[in-house]
Amino acid sequence: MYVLMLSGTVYARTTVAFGYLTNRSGNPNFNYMEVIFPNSFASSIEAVYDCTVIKPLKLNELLEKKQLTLQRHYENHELPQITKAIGCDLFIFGYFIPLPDNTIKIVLTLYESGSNQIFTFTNIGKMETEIFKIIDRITLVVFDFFGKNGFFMSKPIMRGSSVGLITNLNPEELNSMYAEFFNAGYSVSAVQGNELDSYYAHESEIMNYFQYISTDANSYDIITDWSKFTMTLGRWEGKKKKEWQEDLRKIYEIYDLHYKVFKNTVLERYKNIYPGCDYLLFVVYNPSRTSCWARAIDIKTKQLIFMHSNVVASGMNIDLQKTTRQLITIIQTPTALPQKSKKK
Amino acid sequence: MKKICIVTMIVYISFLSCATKKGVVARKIAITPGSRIVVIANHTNNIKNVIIARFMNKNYSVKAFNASDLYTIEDVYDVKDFKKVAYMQPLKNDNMVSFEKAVENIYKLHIYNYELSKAEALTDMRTKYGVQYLILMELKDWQKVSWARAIDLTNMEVVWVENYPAQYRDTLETVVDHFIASMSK
Repeated sequence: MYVLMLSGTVYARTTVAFGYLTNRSGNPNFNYMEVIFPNSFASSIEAVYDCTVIKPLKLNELLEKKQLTLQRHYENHELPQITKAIGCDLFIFGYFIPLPDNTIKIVLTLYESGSNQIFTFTNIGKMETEIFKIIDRITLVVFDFFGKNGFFMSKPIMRGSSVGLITNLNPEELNSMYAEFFNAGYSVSAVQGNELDSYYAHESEIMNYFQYISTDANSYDIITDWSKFTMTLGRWEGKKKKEWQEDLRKIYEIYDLHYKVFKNTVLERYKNIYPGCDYLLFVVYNPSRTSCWARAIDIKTKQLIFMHSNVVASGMNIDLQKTTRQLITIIQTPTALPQKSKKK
Repeated sequence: MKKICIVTMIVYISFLSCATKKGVVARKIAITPGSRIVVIANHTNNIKNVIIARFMNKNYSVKAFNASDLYTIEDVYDVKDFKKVAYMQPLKNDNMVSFEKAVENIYKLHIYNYELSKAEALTDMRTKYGVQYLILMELKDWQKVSWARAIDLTNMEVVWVENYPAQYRDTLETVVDHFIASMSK
């Protein structure tokens, strides 16, 4: 998902296409914003990053040449096809709903064609009379994600809060990590660490599955298309094969289609079992403990609120403790817009 | 020149070994004598007896959780590591990308649930045995780092952690005494 970030060092310019930001309020008075929003995001990105931007109207023209039309909404599995048709690296689209309490909900989806990764975030904020303030708010999330190693923060995790940590560290290392959180003023819920040995320390592959976290409001995920999953069928197939097929369908339904529902049910139980725990933090370190990636879920809202794909401490002799201190600094520091003067 | 190189190497190696044997201690509250505790240590019964005796001598009320049997946790493979028994690789098939995601989600849900199951067992420890604190401990030889940790079972919070690089003159008793002194401060 870091095509834009890499574009500074790679010569091929990244192409970013913008679809509509659909008005889902049912009030046609807001329709004018459907194109203004994506055009503004596109201009902001173009001003900072060295990339080619395709705005919605131009995108529609390109699609019409291929007997296609720019839709107001796309299902995830339709995205690979649309990006292939226009030859773009990134496709950004979404929707907005003005809410009754003078706020606006904006949901933006960023899809990268090469990796098939999709990042969706929701931003609910004041319905500013000056539209550029809303643009800045959303642009900040997009910039963070592209410019800071897949960074996303919907709110900082402040000292005084209680975190449950799930890591790939062994018990001795886990103690060191806990000590850093204690020293920084956090409480640590014994989500992991209530056993003698750490299962996760021996299963790095499974820990990496948590890089992708999908929640109702914010998600970082991979698109799968089960319609492409075909099995050779015929009269020669016996009863057992059909049963197997049916089991497969059920697995898909439970663990892909309805996964979020199941996960939310489990997270709801966390509130009772770990009553003081505010955030569940997944932190996976590299083998030398000089860097890590992290994801955080707010237990109360069950939403993904933080992610960073490459936390690295500065200076010499970087170790587990320094990397952890760097992570703590990042999770408690509110993000800000970068300078627009220089192109990256 | 050769001598300087050798000396530098020795200094570097000793520096590295020091770095790996770093002591760490942090605590939220003191676990004072009189507290009702469970001590879980992955050692043979004679060593467990020594550990428990040190706590008893300091007037802790030690519940017989990890000491009510003749075998150790080490011997019970499917309790210590039951996730491996439950489902390892067979479901995974690299040719099916879509299916892979569902399989990954199974593992993720399993981990979410696994942490809940452990915590529920600890809650039982509190409600059925009246335990206040769970003390986890692993003692190592003097070249290595012994570690211990305490969890407050009323709110499931980690309240004390220590990594202790055992000294050459340390014995089993002195290391346990060191941990008891540290957590009760």
